[in-house]
Amino acid sequence: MQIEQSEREGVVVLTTSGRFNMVSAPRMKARIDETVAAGNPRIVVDLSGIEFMDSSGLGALIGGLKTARQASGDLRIAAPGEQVVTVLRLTNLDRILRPYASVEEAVNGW
Amino acid sequence: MAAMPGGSASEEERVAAVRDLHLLDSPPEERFDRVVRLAQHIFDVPYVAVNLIDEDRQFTKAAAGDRFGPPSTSKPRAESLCSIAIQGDRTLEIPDLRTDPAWAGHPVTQEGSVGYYAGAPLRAPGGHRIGALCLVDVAPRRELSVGEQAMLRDLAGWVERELATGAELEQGAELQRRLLPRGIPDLPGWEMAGQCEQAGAVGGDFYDWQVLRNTGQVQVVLADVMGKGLQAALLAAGIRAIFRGTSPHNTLSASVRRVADDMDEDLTEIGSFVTFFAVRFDPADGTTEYVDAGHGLAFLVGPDRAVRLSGDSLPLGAAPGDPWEPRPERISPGEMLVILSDGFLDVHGDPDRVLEVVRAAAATDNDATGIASRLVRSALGRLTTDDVTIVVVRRLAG
Repeated sequence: MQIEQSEREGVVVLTTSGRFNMVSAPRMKARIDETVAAGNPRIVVDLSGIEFMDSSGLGALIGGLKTARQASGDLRIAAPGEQVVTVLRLTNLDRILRPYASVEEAVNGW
Repeated sequence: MAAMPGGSASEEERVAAVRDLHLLDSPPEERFDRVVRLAQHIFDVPYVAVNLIDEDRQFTKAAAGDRFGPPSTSKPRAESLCSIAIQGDRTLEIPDLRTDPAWAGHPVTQEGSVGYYAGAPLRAPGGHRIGALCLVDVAPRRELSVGEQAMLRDLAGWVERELATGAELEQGAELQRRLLPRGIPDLPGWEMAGQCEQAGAVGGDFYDWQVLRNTGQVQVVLADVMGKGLQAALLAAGIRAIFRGTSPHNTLSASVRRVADDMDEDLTEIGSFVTFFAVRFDPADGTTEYVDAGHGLAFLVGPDRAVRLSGDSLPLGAAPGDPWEPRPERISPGEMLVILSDGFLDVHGDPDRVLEVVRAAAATDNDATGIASRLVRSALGRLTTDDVTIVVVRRLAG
């Protein structure tokens, strides 16, 4: 999995691509934790490049969400593909990780 | 010298410890291969091996160089120098085997192709010396320096950690098996069956059932802890114990909340969560209630309908304080409840497709055990590295 970082209007955008699974999830979680620790608790994870996400990926997003909220921020996800949406819906986690259609929408709606 | 072959109690324990590693006759593994390759490079010897000493043979688990026995082969223990290296705690070093009078009668000396041998004993997690990491050269060599001795010991320590990791996974698998219920409640007019097949590494799946004495309801649960290994198995054990203990005294949703509250800290700490499907039914009339905590793969299939039992509750560990409200249902005569783990989702793609497979199995077999077995077979060996777990609860027609 590739992770690229950028910033828009005070929100850190983490753009990901590849497979979000047991191998890459710890790296993603660490990146989110570092971002929050650096004083940026408002994070958008752009999932548009993710081909596949498993439960470890979900675990990393949930963990990241908790970390961000503890720092009075939030974690939003943008542009998930069909497989990711299915996993989110099946686990009811779309209730706390509501998918935004695009990064713009996620950032604007803050 | 202690622990010569031949049946002392400690030798029996030692042999048991070797076998408990479940590495004898196993194929090569990169986690060991990389250590012997590295040792070959560091010490500049033609052959390095990880040898395990069974009762009467030496099994080569990993080897770099092809001179003295390829990986995954065995030779008689009498022809093994590692078998002697494990008799002490220190590295056994023989700089010039051919001229050393102490070794003149040994079969390896007589065979003549080994000039130098150094073997650092390897310990199993319980402390038994179960093999050695050995360096072998065709020609004699100078003795290892103090620094080289320490380096060889470090590499042996690395192998020992790999041995322990494998043992931990094995213990996790055993723990996971023990979480499963052993008996099936005897319920006239009902059949129940459950299976949990572990695929590869240990996962955190389990299922359980119990009769709640004060209401007469039967409670069934299937849960999947995100993660692998001993950690996931231990979390599963905790969840099962809390849920079993609290359920006889509490409503379904209160019991789920109790598990979620008690486990939240542990789950947050290791970044895990649990999908959990719990159901209670009254065997007298089929009245049913269920909580779907993000599990999503439970189906009610019968002559008149085939539906997914969905809910909107969060998995445990995702966010505290979800109400985990139960939803009402009824299992009618001739209908069955099928709860599956997400290993099935890996194989079949989406829940609708899983439902189709469940319907087909239900139409082919007409007993709960047969249906569970058919569904497990449909998933095993396919595109999943996840556990495959299933519970079938069937209410007989009429």
